[in-house]
Amino acid sequence: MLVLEGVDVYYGNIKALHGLSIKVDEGEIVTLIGSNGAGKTTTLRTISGLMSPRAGRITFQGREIGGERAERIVAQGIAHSPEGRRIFTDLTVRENLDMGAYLIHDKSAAKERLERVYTLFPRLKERASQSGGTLSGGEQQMLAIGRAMMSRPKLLLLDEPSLGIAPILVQEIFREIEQIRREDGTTILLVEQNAHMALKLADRGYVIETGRIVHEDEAGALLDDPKVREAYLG
Amino acid sequence: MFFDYLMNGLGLGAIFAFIALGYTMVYGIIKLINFAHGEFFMVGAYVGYFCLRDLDIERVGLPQPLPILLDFFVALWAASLVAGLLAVLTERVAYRPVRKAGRIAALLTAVGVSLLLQNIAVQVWGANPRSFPDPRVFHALDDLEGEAQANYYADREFTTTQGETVTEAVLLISQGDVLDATKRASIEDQGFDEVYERVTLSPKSVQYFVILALIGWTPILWFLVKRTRMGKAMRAASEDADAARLMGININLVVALTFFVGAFVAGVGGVAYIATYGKVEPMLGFLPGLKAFVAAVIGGIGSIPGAIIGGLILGVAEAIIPFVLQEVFGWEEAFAWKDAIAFAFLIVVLVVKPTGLLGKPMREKV
Amino acid sequence: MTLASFLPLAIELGPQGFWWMNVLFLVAIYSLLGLSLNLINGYARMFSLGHHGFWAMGAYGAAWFTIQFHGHMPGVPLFLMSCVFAMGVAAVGGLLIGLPCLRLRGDYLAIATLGFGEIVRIAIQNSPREALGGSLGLEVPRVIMDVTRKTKADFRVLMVAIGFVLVALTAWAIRNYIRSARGRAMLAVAQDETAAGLLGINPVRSKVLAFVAASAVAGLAGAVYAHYQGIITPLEFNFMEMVKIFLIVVLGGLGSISGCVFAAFLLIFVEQWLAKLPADAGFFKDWWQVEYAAILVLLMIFRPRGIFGPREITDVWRDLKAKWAKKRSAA
Repeated sequence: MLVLEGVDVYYGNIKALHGLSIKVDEGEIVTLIGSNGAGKTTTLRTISGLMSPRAGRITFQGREIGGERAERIVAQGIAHSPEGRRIFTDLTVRENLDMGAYLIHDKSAAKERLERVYTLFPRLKERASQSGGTLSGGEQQMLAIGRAMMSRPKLLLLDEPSLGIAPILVQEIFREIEQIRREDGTTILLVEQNAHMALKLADRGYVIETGRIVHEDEAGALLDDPKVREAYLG
Repeated sequence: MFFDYLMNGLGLGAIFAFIALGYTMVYGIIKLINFAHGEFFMVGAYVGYFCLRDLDIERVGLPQPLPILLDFFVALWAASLVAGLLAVLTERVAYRPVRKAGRIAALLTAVGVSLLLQNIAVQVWGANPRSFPDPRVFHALDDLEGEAQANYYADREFTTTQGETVTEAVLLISQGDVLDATKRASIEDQGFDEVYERVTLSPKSVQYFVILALIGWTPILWFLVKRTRMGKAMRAASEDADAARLMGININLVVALTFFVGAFVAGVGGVAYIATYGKVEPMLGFLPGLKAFVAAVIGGIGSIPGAIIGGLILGVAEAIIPFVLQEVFGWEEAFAWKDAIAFAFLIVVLVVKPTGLLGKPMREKV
Repeated sequence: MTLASFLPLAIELGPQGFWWMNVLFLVAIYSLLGLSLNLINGYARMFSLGHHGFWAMGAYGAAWFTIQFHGHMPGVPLFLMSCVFAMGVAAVGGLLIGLPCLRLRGDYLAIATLGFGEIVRIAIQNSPREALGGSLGLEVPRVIMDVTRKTKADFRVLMVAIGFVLVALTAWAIRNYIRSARGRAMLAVAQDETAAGLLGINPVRSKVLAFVAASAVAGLAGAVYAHYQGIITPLEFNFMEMVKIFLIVVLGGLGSISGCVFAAFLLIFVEQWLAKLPADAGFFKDWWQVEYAAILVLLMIFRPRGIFGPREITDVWRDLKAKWAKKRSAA
C-alpha cells in the first residue's frame, strides 16, 4: 500500500534520513521504533508531505506521492496525527473535528464520520463545545486521532500517541487504535518511543537509528530479539 | 462640545477599526506586520473618490437621496474589490516569496511595498491632494420656479490656452434670484436645460454612517471567521500552519483570502475616510495605517473584536485627550501633538502589555 | 594649528568639484548612519526603524549647542563640543527608548522604534520657534567657516575630510568591538538569546550597549550634517530617510562594513546625479522613488541578506579570484 524506497531527507544541509526504505501493506499495523532524534517523526512528516525527500521514491497505492504538497496527500487518503498532538487550541473540539473533515464536501458523509469518531471516543462528544485548549493531554490525543479519522483515511500515521499521557489513558488509546484497524479497516503506521506497547500492538516493526533502518521483522520476533530488548525495551 | 469630540473620535475610531481588522487578520495568520496595509486603504480611498466623482448616477433622474446612496454603494464595492485584489496580488508577488526568509525580511519587504505603492500613486495620481466632490442634485430648468432656494450650477467645457479641455462648474443662478421667463431664457441661450445644486454632506451625518457601517460589518466578519468553513480554516492555519495542512487546508489559498478580506474591509475604511475628511492624497495611508496597527496592538493583535475595540479606543483617545489637555490643562497646542500622543501610546502599550486587551499570550514557535 | 592646515585642502573647486564634494560628504554621512544601523540590525540582529530619530536628535542637539555658545567659544572647540553634545543627546535618547523596548520581539521593536522616530520629528516640528525652530527649521552658525577663513581650506573639502575620518574611525571601532569579548557576547546574544543567557551573558545589557553606541554614532552623523548644511528642518529626518539608511545596510549586506560604505556611495551618487538632471529628464528620474522601493522589495525577495551577504568586499574579491584561478587551472 505504502512503499518508501531509498528516501533521503534533509533539514537544511543536515541529512536526516539516509536511503530509508519501508513498506506498509493494506490492513497492517506497522510500527517504527527508535530513540529520540532517530528520524521517526521525519519519516512521517515526509510521507504526509510536510517535508520533501531529496532522493528516493514514495508510492501510495501505486502512485508516486513523494514531494507532493501536504494538502494533496491528505486528499489521497493519508491522515497524519502529528507529534505533540498539534490540535487547534483556539477552536472547539467540534471545530477541530470539522477541520479533520475539511476535504469532505458532502455534509451527510461528514456527519457520518463525526458519529463514528464520537463512537470511538465518547469523551469527545461530551466535550464537543469546549475549546481544544481546555482538554487534558489524553483527551487532546484522542482529539488528534479523532481529527485524523474524520477524513476516512486509508492509511493513518500516528506519531507518539503515548507521549506525556497518563498510563491508564495510554492503554485506552492503544485499545482504540486496535479498534480502528479492526472496525474501519484502516492501515496504521505507528511511531512510538514506548516500543514495548507498540510492538505488542503491531504486526511488523522497523528499527530506525540515525536515519537508517537497521532492523525489520515481525513484531513478535522483534520483541524477543535480545538486541532490540537491550536497546529499546530495557 | 464634548459630545462632538466624542462623535469625531468614534468616527475616526471606526475608520481605524476598518484598517486594524486587516492588520490583525494578516498578523494572526502569517505573523507579518503588513506595512502596506495602509496603502490598500489609500488605494481604496482613491477608487472611492473616482467613483464618487465620475459615476454621475445623479443624471439617471432618481429621487433624492437615492443617487447619493447609490453612489456610495458602488464606491464602497469598487474600492473594496480593488483594494482586495491589490492585496492578493501583493501577497502573491512580494510576500509569498519571503515567507520562509524570516520575519525581519518579510517586514522589510512590507515597508518596501508600502513605499512602492505610495510612490506609484504619486506618479499615477499626482502628489497633490484632491478634494472630494460634493454630491450634486440635478433639476430640469423647467421645474424651477419662483425664488431660487440654492445656488445652481452647470458644467461647461472650455479649452485652455495650452489646448487642454477642462470642465468647470459655472454658477448660473444664485440663491434668491427670481426665476422668471427672462432668466430662464438667458440660461437656455447658453445651451443648458438642466442645472444642479451641490449638497454638502454634514460631517456629523457621515460620522453616524461610518459608525453604523462598522456596526454592520462586525457581525458579517464574525460570521465569516467563526462560522464558515474558510473562517475556521483561517483560524486553524493561524494557530498551526503545519497541522492545518495535514487537514488538507491549502495555506496559500487561506492566506490570499485573508489578505483579500482584510484589504476589502480597509477599502470600506477608505471610502469612509474621504466621506469624512473630504480629500485624498498618496501619503494618506501612512499615518492612519500606523495608527491602525497601534489600534490592533491595543486590542490584542490577532483578535478581531480586539481590532474593533482598539480602533474605537484610539480614535476616541485621539479626539478626547488633546481636547482635555487643551480645555482642562490649558495646553494650547495639544492638537498639534496628537500623532505624537498616539505613538507614545503605542510604545507604552507595547512595553506594558504587548498582548493587548483581548490578545492571547504569544507562544514562541521553536 | 588644526588638522586642516596640514592637509592640502585649499583646492579651488569648480561647479563639478562642488557637486562631487557634496556627494562625497553625503556618502560619508550615510555611511556613518549605515554603519551604526548595521551594528543594531546586522550584528546585534535587533530590528530598529527609528534611526532617523537619533540622527535628528544629533543634528538638533549640535545646532542648539552651537547657537547657545556661539561667540563665547572659538570655532574648533565649539564644533568638537557640539559633536560630543550631540552624541550624548542621541545616546540618552537611545538609552531611554532602548531600556524599555529592547526586550520586545523583533517586529514589535521595529514598530516601537518607528513610533519613537516619528515622535522625535513631531516634537521638533511643534517646538517653539525660539528653541528648536519648529517646522521652519533652525539655522546653525557656520563655526567651521572660522577655520576655513584662516587656513584658506575649502569648506566642503574640509567637511568631506572630517566625514571620512569619522567613517574610518567608526569602522575601526566597530571592527574592534566585534572582535572583543563584549562584541562576541553581543553576537552570541544575536544568535541565541537563551543560550547566551545560560553562558552568563546579560542579553539586555549587551543589546542596550549596542543600541546606545549606534544611537551615539547616528547623533554624531547628525551633528556633522547640521554643521555642513547650515540650516536643518524637521522634514529632512522623515521615514523615507530611514528606509534609505536601511536600504544601504541591506544592499551592502547585513554585517558588512565595506559593503555599507559602497552601498551608500552607489545610492547617494545615483540620487544626486538624478537630482542634477533637468526636471523633464524622463522616466528614470520621475520614477526614482518608485525604483527605490522596488529595489528594496526585489532585494528582500532574492537576496534577503544583502548582495554580498555579511562578507566584506575584500572577501568577495578573494573568493572571485580563487574561482577564476580554479577555472584557469581546469582549462
